[in-house]
Amino acid sequence: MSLPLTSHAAAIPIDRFTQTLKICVDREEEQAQDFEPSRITSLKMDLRAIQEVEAMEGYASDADFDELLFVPKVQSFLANPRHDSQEVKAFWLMARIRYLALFTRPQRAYIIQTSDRLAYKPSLLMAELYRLPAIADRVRLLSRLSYRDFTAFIAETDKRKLPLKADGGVFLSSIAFNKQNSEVRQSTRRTFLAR
Amino acid sequence: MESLLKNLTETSKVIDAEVLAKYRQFASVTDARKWVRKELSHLASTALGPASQVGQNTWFKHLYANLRLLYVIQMGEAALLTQLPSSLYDSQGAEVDILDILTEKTEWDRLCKIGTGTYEMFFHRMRAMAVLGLTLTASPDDYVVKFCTEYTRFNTPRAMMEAQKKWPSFLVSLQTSLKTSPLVEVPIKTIVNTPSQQVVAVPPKTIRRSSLSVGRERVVSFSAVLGLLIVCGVVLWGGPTWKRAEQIKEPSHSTPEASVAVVAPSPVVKATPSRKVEPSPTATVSTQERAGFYVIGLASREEASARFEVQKHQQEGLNPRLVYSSNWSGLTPNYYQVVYGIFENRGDTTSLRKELEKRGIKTYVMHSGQRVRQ
Repeated sequence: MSLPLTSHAAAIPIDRFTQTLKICVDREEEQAQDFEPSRITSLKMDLRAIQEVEAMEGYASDADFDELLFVPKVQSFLANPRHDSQEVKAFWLMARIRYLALFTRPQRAYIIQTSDRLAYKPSLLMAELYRLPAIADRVRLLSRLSYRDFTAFIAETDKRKLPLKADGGVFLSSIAFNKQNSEVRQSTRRTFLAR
Repeated sequence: MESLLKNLTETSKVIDAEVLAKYRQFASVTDARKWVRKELSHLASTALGPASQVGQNTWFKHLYANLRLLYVIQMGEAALLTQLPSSLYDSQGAEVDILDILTEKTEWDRLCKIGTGTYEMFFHRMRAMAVLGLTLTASPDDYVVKFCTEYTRFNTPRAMMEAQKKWPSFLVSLQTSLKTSPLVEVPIKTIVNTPSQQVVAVPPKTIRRSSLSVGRERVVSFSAVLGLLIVCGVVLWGGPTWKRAEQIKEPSHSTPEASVAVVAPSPVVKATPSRKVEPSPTATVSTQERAGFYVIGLASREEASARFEVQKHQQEGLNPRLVYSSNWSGLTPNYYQVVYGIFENRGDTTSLRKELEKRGIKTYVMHSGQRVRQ
């Protein structure tokens, strides 16, 4: 499927979060590009985020992410080790709106069409996320994820009862007891420590 | 198109109720599918002229109702009864939910998907597509790009103006998509001689007649002779029949059958050369509105839907009549009913109902009671 917006892609800044995400992509999952239900849901959620951005009638700046941390809902979401689907949806929308508002309209179209086709390995993504010391940066990283990837990621952290604002040490101790899959444990630890 | 916006939620409920009532009329799923097939074929061949806005609106509603009925046939009544009302959906949801339709692969699958939502959702979705100038042939990616880059088109009142402007052509595109349906029977086009074909003059001597063409001519002349014989026979035998038909046309209506629209066109009348060819002698007889047993087909709360049904069956050679039920004490009030015949006795309705059933028209009989309003 061709994307008619590739000319606008060049204008999208490749920041450290984008670079980080590149190494977490699950290449096997990426192959599946058909419109399976989860991908449609992701796209629809992105369109809803764009509706909100349009309702704002303007563009946001990167500093707006910092403001998010003062929102009580966001604070509790980051602190809680368990989340229900409504909370996940609300948090993702808030973060995504601020991310998409940084771009022009064609760039938004490009971003949502490309991000919904990616799939990340949750364990690798966790390693990358918990490496970031600033909570605002973690929110920035999460805002780059499509809804599908975000829900998969939150399911993983919830399974381990890890709050998003937990520090790196807590994350390391959580994977240390993952005896069921030693390979994942080792690779995740290596990623976390090496970078 | 603006008229479609009026009482949208109410209309949505009414259509669902009508679809459910219609579904319950069918004896089997096969009957229902047959009926939908016929309706969709008719909708696919209806001329959507720009002059008649009412006609376009009715066509739009009928398309939805049939797609909805198809959905009920596939999923059962429960699917309709358990559906959330449109009011519970996001007000901007329709613009986003178009993706659900466009991710289906074929145009027909996309149309079928329409039936899964309420009429209100259908209308909003289709309007959003018209606003962006897209049709059911668009890819999901095209829609996403248009949505993101031309979002300002959704802003009112611009959206309304855009939709109004593009609505007629959008309906035509819907009809084109409908024609891709495996359920639609596309009529075979008759071959018409173009002027260029007529201009080409080949000298008769140069044409070498094949044995096939000679044989065909013989068959044609034999058919002509046979036809003449049939016509003569018909004139001799059909004379009294025609006279009887003429008597029926008289306003006196001495017998109950006089006011009945007979379904099958009579070949007798067609064959009479001296008369004007009619599809059926009794088809021209109006079912004068009077007290009696009514053979009722469609009953709709919307006049336009019922009128559409009447016109459709008139084109098929029947003579239905539109009756407003509130005018009669015995009928359920506030319905526009398509009445195919009025009889003195219930027993007399049987033959007409059988004829109508052969044509796939389900009917029921009710006594009108007394006239309550003029």
